[in-house]
Amino acid sequence: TLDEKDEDDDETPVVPHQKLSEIFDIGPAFALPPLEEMFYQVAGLYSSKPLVQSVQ
Amino acid sequence: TNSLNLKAQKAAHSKSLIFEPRVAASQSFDTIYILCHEGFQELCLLDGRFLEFQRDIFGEQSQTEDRVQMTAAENSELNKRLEAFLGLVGGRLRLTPAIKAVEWLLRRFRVHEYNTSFLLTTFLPYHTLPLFTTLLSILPNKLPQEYEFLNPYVRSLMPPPRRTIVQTATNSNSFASALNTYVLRICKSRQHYPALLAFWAGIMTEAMGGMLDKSRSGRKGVQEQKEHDVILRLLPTLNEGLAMKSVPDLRIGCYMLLSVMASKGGLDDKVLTAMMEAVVLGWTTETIIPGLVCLSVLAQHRGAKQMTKRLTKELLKVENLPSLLLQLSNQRRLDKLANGLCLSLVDRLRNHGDLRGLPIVEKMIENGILSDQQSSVIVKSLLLVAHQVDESSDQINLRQHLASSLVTLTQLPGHGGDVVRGTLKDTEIDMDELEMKLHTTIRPAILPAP
Repeated sequence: TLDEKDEDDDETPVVPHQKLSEIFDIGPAFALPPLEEMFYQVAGLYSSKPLVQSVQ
Repeated sequence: TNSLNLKAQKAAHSKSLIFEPRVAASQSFDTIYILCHEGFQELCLLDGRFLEFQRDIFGEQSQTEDRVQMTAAENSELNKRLEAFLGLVGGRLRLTPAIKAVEWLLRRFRVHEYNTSFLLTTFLPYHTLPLFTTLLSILPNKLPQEYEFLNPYVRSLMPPPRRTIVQTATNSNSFASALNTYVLRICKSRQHYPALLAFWAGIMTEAMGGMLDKSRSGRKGVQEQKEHDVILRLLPTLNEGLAMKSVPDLRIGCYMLLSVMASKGGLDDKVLTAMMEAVVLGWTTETIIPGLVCLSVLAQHRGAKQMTKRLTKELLKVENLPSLLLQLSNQRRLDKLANGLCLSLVDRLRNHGDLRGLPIVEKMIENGILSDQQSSVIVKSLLLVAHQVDESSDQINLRQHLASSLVTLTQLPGHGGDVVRGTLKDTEIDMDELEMKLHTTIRPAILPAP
């Protein structure tokens, strides 16, 4: 089937708690950047770097 | 005892957000009403939704309303109105008119005593401001359980730092659940404002990270159980949040929680799949892009490769899906999401002759969004579908499109094309036969015959 297992080369970065705090603990709630922007920062912490094979 | 009673009454009457206790103690209700009503009227000019309170809690008659004289039913009805007002005024607490209006709720209806938890949660996003410390100074001695962590700050009259709030949300279920419930309730009544959602999402995301880290201690079986408990506690909030389509920031906050949850390894495939479906089912133009980012994080942690039919169906509705994915792939890896989609699209092609997926598959391979191995598997499965096409008239269309797609893929420049050509070279499918069947030449001239 198409769902066969292959080698799993995925590594999720290990994110220290401090990194997460740095996104949010930058000022009072009413002075924070838009939530969408902060979401991209959070997702960025936990996403692997893009595949770069196309730039060979 | 009468004089004691009087003293207690006077002390209670001296609790104010605006006035020194001694001044407050001497004020009559009509003096306070005039001042507070002014604030209320200004609020009404800012936001017409405040007008609904002008006949009850801000009406003339409110000056003589005393909750001690009211029945339990009347009190509970009053609580609803007071909390409805507090919810609405939450977004304006940095404005003087708002403080004046809240002062009325405090002085006349003693919200700080009767609605302590709701009032505190309403003020919590402003915990760094002197306003919050003033509120701390007039609270009753015994705080509700979820707010007991404020006791040291009540004693020192210092603002609680954000760190303390995160720690409390991490370690106290009653506080975390009070915060979640409050936010959902405010969103349901359309009283949300950006700072509240940013505050909630930030605190809960960090707290959830902390809860999952904490659950990592102890024996493996115990760990799993603890992790499971953390997730079970939060899933209802996520489900409810994702179901509320019209509050984009609430959805994005849920995406945030989900992404961290999945990344910390807390979700099994079944939950991941359900959550991925919940992400796409209620998204709107405002939440599609962050939704795709969330999907990409969730997909990276899912064991199963192929995407569910439901998920694929919703993704196909997204305008410009390939270019959106392309754009997002510049910042992060989303090969598993793209691969799951491509596998499912090939499946639709094979089972239903659905051609809509072909251009998407081409784009994913062309732009190196898939890994080489993933690309190769997709190309192989396309070849297999082509191989199975028969001469019947209802497959003519499918045959033509597949042929043209395979030609396009083979002629791709760069690395993507190399992977496709390499796959063709390796395939066990009889290419001469396939080319005849498709009435086309797939293998380019540059490719030497094997």
